[in-house]
Amino acid sequence: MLLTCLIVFSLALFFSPVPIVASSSDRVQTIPDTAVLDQNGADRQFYTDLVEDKIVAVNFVFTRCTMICPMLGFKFGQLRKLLGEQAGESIHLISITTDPGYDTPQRLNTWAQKFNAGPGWNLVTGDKQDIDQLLKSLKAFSADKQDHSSLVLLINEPLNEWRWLDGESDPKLIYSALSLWLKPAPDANSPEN
Amino acid sequence: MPIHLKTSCKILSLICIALLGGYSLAKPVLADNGAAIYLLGETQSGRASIGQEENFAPSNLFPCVNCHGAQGQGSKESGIVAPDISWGQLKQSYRKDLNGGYKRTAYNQESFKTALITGVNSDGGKLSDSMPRYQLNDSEITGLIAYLIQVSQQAEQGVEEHAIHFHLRLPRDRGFADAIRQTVLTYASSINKQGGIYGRELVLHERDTESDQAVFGILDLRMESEPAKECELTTLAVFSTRDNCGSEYFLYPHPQQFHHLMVPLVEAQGWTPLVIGHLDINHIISNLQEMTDDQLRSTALIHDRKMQPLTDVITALQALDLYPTIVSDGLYSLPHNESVLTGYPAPLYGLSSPGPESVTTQGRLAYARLAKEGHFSSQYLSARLWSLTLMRLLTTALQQAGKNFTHDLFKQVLQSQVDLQTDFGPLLTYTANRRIGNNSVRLVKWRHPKAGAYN
Repeated sequence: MLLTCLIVFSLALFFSPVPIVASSSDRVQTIPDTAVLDQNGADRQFYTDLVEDKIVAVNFVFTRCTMICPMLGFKFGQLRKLLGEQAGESIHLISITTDPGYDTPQRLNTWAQKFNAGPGWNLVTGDKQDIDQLLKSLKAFSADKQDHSSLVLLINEPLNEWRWLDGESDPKLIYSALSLWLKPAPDANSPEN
Repeated sequence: MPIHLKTSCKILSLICIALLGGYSLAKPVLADNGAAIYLLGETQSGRASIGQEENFAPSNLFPCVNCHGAQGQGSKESGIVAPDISWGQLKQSYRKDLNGGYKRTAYNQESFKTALITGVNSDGGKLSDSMPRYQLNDSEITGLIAYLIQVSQQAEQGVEEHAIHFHLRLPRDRGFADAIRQTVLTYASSINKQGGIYGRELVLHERDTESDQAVFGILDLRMESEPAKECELTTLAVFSTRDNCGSEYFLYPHPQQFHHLMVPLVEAQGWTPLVIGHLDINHIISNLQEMTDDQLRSTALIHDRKMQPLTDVITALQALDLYPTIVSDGLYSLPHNESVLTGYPAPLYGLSSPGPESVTTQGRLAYARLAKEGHFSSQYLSARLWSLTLMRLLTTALQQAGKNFTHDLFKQVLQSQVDLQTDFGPLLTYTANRRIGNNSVRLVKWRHPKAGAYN
C-alpha cells in the first residue's frame, strides 16, 4: 500500500507543477556545524543536531518580514500538519532567520506559534556572522534581508542530495518531494518476511 | 405660508438633514469596516485561502497592509511585488508600481470583488499565488473600497487633482533671489504648458507671501546655511542647511560640507584623504612630514576654500618640499594665482560642479529656450544652472513616482536618481546626510588655462 502511495506521489511529482528550482547530488555539499539557538533558547549544533542523518526541509525567514515570510511560515505549518507523526521522526523542518540581530529565540517562538508550530519544526538564530556564513553555505545568503531567499531547501543528508523548491509551493507537493526520499516500510506479506 | 406647509417644510428639512448626516456618517463607518479588513485582516468569515483553495488560513495572518503598505502604496520583497492598491490607482487603466508601469483594465467594484475572492484580475488573468483569496461579502467589499478611497484622498498634503504645491525658499541676496525665482518659475511654467506632471501643475509658493497653502515639499535654493524649520516636509536643497533636525526628508544636491563628498571620492581613487578642515595647516604639515615618500605619494590633501586660501597651503607645502596630491573645492570657481598652481609639481584636482562647462548640448538648447521664454539676463548663470539641476531632479522624480505617489515612493525614486543626467550639470545628491549618488561627479585635474582646463 505504501509502495503504491509512493508511486502515486512520484507520478504526481513528475507531472506536477512543483517547481524544483534546482537539485544536486553529484557533488559534495558541506554544511557547517554552526552553533545556533533554537526557538526555546537551547544550544544546538546546526549540522550534528539538526541535519546529520536526516531528511530536512529548510526555509529562510525573519519575524519582521511582513510580506513573504507569513506565507512561508503558514506553508511550513501546513507541511508539519501533513507530516503528522513523521514530523521530527523521519522528516524535520528548520527555519533559519535571516535577521539574527533582531530575531531572538523568543521572537521566533512567538512568530511560529501563529503557524501551527510544534515538534519537528525548529527555528534557529545565532550570532550574525555565524548565521550569515551558514546561509552562504546553504546558498541562501543575501546582503539585504528584504531580498532573502523564498525557496525551500530540501536536504537528504545521508544521500548528500539537495533540492530547492519554490517556498510558495503547495505544502502537499513539498510533502510529496520529501516522501520520495523515505524508504518504503517492509511489506508484511512479502515472501522475505 | 400656511402653518401646515411650514411644518411640512420643517419635517422635510429634518429628513434632508438626517439623510445628509446619514450619508456623511455612513462613509466613515464603511471605511472603518474597511480599515479593520485592510489593517487587521478582520473579516466575517475569518478565513483566507492560500494557493490551493482548500488551504484555509486565518485571514488575520494576512492583512492587506502587510504587503500593500499603510497607504496602499505597495511594496517589494524577495522579488515579489505587491502593487499599489489605493483606489485612485486601481480605478485607472494604467498601473505604475515598483517594477514599472503597464496598461490594464481599470477596476470597478465588481472586478475588484472577483479579484479578491477568486484571484482573477480585471483583465481576466490570474493573480499571483502570493495573493491570498479572501472570503468577503458585498458589504465588506464596499467597506474595503471606501477605505481605499479614503487612503487615496488622504494621500499627500499639497497634492491636488490638478496641482502639486511646493514652497520656494530663495537666497537673501536680492540679485540671486530674482535670478533664481525667474529661472525656476520659467521652468515650472514650461512644464505646466506641456500638461504638467500627470495633469498636475507644478505650483511654487514663496514662503512669506502664501504661507497658508499646504505644500508637498520645499525647494530650498538658499545659499545661506540656516537652521531648518520644517523638518516634516521633504526638502530638496541646493546647499545643506546648518541643521536638518535629523530629518530623513532633506536632500542636498550640492552639499556645503563638501568633505563628506570628497572623502569617499578620494578614497575611490586609492588615495588616503587628509582633510584640511578646522585643523591648522601647520598641524597638517607636521602629519605630512612624518610620512614616508610612498605614503606621501598616496595621500590626497582635501582643501576646503572656506578654511584656508589654496595659495597659502601650496606655498607652505612647497617651502618644505612636501607634495601630496591636492583636491580642492575651489579650484575652478575662485580666482587663483596661476603661477602658484602651475609651480606645484604634484597633481591638483578640482570638483566639477554645475557651471557652463558641465552643460550638455541638450542642456544648452533647453537653457536657450528657457532664457528666451523668461527673458533671462546673462548674469547669475551658475545660480540659474544649479537651480535647473534641482528642478530637473524634482520633475524627473515626480514623473517616475507616478500619479498616485506618496512621500515614501517619492523618496525612493529620488534615491534611485544616482545617474540622472540633468543636462544642466551633475547632481551631488544627498539624503539624510548620506550620499546617494556621485556617479556624475567628476574630479578634474587642473592644468594651466593655456594648456586647456580639463584632461
